Amino acid sequence: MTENKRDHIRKRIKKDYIIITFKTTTAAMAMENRCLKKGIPGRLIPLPGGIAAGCGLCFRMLPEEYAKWEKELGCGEGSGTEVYHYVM
Amino acid sequence: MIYLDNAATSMRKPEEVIRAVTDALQTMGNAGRGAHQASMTAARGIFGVRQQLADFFHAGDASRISFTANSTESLNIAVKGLLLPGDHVITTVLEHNSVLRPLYEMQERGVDITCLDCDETGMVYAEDFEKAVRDNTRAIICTHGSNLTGNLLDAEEIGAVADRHGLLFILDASQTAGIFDIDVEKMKVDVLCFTGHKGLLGPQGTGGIYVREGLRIRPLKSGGSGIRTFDRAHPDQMPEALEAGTLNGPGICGLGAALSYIERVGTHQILRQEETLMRAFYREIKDIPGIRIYGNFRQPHRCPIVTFNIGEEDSALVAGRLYDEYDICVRAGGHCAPLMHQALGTRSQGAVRTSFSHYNTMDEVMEAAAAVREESRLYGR
Repeated sequence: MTENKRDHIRKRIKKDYIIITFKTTTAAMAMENRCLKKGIPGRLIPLPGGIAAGCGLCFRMLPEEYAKWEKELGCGEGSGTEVYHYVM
Repeated sequence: MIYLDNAATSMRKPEEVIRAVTDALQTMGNAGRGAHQASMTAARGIFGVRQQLADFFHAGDASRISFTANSTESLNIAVKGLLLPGDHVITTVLEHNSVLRPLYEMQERGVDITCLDCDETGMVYAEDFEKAVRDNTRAIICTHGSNLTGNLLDAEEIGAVADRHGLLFILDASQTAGIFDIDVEKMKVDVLCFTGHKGLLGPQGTGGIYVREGLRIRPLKSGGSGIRTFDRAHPDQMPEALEAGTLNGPGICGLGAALSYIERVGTHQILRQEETLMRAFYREIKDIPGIRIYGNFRQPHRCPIVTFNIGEEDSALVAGRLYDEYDICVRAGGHCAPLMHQALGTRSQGAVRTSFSHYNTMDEVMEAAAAVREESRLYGR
């Protein structure tokens, strides 16, 4: 590991994120695919231990981006997804 | 070598299939088991193929497609996961053992089976299914195309019968997927079972099952899924509900490349080429003295298969000679279709099956026909 990388890790600051969870890996992949097509920023990460969900992957994005794209994302009741604020 | 055994497996694959499998073997981690690049490469690749298959079969949502190892696994999932003791199911003598044997197992557990007989050309029609419907009929399960005669059943009409009577329609598309357009919506198919290594031109060990939205199937297998780790029961969400264990990622990526190839060439073009070859072979051999051909060749469309016998000669001996003397690969024997052979009266003789790919050429067809002509001339000497 380079010194720069080490320095970057030491200075890491925790941030508030929106975490979208899924019941299946396929649903997570479908979300990633949809976001890529629509240019919605965010990415799939391993599900933090503090959140319980079916799938080990979740979609992470910044709260302001979530607010902007909430309608297109179609999360929440009946969608098979759950939305959390999570500091990480 | 002239390979005319494409109904067993399409040996020649598009170049991009080989490249996709090789790429996957070099870059893929385990899908759904992590968020690192290797795992995500696998997950993205597999999801992409799932969506391709959903589009290909007009299933809409990718989550309705589960991957399996082949049609046999898909059919076992459908038969054992949907039928219950006391249910009645309608099937046909055209079926492969991958349908019949799971059904016989279920028969031992109290499922009642009606097996529709065929006419002298090996055909079964939608009205035959309608006449067999009873109060306790739960499902129709049948092949889309006979692996022995190549006869094509009218899936749309049979699906309409199932729909009219509120029955499940389970379609075995082993011989037709990739060659004929299959629209699960239009055909009212509840469960579609397909293999990847025949008409779909993918690697062996790939296949899948489409399950209509709202229909739940008891899984055949349970185990690792990458989701709901701490639950004692296997998750019931599709498609993972029917996918315990690590998927055949490289094979699935190969299947995806094959689907792209088929979409580029077009199923209509593939069917046109294969039917041209099949009908040319049929025309060349049909009037040879002593030749008996099985199946309905008056159908406007049929699977690219011509099955025949030479007199009373053992089909295995004919197939052996075709390979030894002419370097032609065909399939002899029972073709895992015992009831169809029984109906055709070829249980002991078996039959010689030739099956064509769009990669075959007219020269190969003519050479094979000449070989059959010669073998027929020598028959009995």
